[in-house]
Amino acid sequence: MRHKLSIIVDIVKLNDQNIRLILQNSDIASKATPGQFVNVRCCNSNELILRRPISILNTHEDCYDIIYKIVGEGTKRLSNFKIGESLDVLGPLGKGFTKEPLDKTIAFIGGGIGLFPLVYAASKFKDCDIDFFVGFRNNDEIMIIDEIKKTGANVYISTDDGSFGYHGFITDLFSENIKKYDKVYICGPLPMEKACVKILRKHGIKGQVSLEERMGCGIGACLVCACETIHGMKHVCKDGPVFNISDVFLKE
Amino acid sequence: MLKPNLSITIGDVTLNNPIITASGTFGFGREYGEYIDLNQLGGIAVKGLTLEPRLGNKTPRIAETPSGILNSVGLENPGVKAFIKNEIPFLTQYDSKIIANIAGSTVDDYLKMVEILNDTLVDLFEINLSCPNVREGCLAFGSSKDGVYRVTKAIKEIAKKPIIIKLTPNVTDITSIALGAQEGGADAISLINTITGMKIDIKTKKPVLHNNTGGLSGPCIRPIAVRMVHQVYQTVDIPIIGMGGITNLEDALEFFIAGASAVMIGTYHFMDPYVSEKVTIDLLKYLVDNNISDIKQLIGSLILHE
Ligand SMILES: Cc1cc2nc3c(=O)[nH]c(=O)nc-3n(C[C@H](O)[C@H](O)[C@H](O)COP(=O)(O)OP(=O)(O)OC[C@H]3O[C@@H](n4cnc5c(N)ncnc54)[C@H](O)[C@@H]3O)c2cc1C
Ligand SMILES: Cc1cc2nc3c(=O)[nH]c(=O)nc-3n(C[C@H](O)[C@H](O)[C@H](O)COP(=O)(O)O)c2cc1C
Ligand code: FES
Repeated sequence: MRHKLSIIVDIVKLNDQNIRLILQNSDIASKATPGQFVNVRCCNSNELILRRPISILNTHEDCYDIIYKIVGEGTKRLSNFKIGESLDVLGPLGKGFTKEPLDKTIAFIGGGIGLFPLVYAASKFKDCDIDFFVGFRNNDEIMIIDEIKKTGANVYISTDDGSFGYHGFITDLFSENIKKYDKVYICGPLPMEKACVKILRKHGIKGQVSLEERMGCGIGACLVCACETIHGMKHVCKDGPVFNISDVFLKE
Repeated sequence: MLKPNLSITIGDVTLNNPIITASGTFGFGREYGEYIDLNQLGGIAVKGLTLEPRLGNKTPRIAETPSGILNSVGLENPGVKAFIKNEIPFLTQYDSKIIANIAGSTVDDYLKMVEILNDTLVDLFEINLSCPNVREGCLAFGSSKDGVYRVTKAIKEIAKKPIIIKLTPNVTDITSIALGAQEGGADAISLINTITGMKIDIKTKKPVLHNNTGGLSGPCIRPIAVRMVHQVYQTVDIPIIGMGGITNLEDALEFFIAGASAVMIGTYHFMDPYVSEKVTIDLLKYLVDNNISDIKQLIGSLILHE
């Protein structure tokens, strides 16, 4: 069965680079779980023949939201679409974050665009005590903090240049009370993920990490998004993007 | 008008229609089975298989280029035995023919794989003599007439299924290579595999692909592929399976007119998971609309300028 197009209900410019799309598609909205992503066709010409993977930020009724950062040709072209137009979006794709009933005290650690799937998870993981750590490069990048607070999480912010919140890396902040967490969820730039994973492994704390990899098909057919795990070669688009920390070897 | 005849025959195997999914872009069919009816396809060429499992190259394995992509998967696959155990039972549920794409580093590798696959429900063998992304092996066979002839002949002697020889475009004279395949006894030729290329990240001055180079595919290679199908059609008598950048019916028609008996669709699945099914449906409609009773009337119908 053909997938339905996603209708752009609203476009919100969050700052210079980040744009939020509110998209209507009941199939995606009803099936999505936190940590999953969609694969977006960014222009109607075949000049770009790959879709772009973007995390799902949340769902509400028959809509879902995404936030994308304009970084290159694809995301630039995506910014040409207007309210009322339709986007060709495949999804939801991949496997998202999971939580055991016994995981009560949890931490989310997000950096940059890695923040978005974590916000979704925080809003869905009920009856938990959540600390949410967010790292940005600087003050201008800070976004959707109110939305994180709405989930009931305690929010801790750091900036690399000290222009807001804690001056330094987010790993310093969360490692202070690390022992109290039953589970930690990480999504951000690779160096940040690696630093966090190292700390968690040292303390034997369980967690999940969302990996980023360049993709082709997005559904497990082309094998370009490989990632080595203790269970052999896996594929980020289908077996991930979320993996248990104990299963993955992070790239050099 | 009666339903036009879309079927084509390779060796003694008849495909319901001439639309086949290209090796390496369609996994083992399962993933796209969520989107399309696999019964609609003429055939499914599975991910390139090797004798032993392979992990493939390091990532990044893909880079986007204008109207195309470079890939350097490096033949990641579970090995021929796991394929037989885990994938053939799934694929045999469908009408579409199963095409086992195999790659080896030595003639012996190919022969062993053919032996193992001979008594399975695989319908056809596609012999990949042209994978550009593995250091050792198969490209060496694919780039000389004699190499192609020798491997083809050795395989043909033991193969219990028709063999399709897949050619690399990374050669100076595709026609002599194609002749090598025909003289070796190939039942068909498929072309083109990817064209070797490179993309550089100007900030880091490093290639985007970890493997440094990769294979170019997608619409950007289509004119090269059409030209090569045309040349090979003028040279050999065996059926040709054409591919390279097909995105819709019109693209596929170019290949039929140039001389392809069937086409394979690869990269464009990543953008449009329904593309193969769509082209199959559109092709039937095209034949009806144009009063063509048999797809064979189209094959090689090219009218060259004087
Ligand atoms: C699972 C997953 C979830 C993501 N979620 C988000 C999100 O919620 N918001 C957001 O802004 N971005 C997200 N990204 C990153 C986003 O996919 C890239 O920023 C985007 O593909 C860049 O496309 P471009 O054409 O603008 O950039 P270009 O650099 O011109 O892209 C060239 C090629 O590289 C690929 N590419 C470039 N950067 C990345 C990257 N970081 N990860 C994977 N592929 C990349 C592109 O898809 C394209 O094929 C996510 C990536 C993954 C893998
Ligand atoms: C990601 C990827 C993996 C591929 N793997 C194989 C392979 O294992 N064996 C093979 O014979 N060809 C392989 N190919 C080549 C395709 O089958 C096809 O020849 C080529 O991509 C041209 O067709 P297209 O432009 O429609 O993709 C691969 C192509 C891509 C894009
Ligand atoms: S992107 Fe094709 S397998 Fe992951």
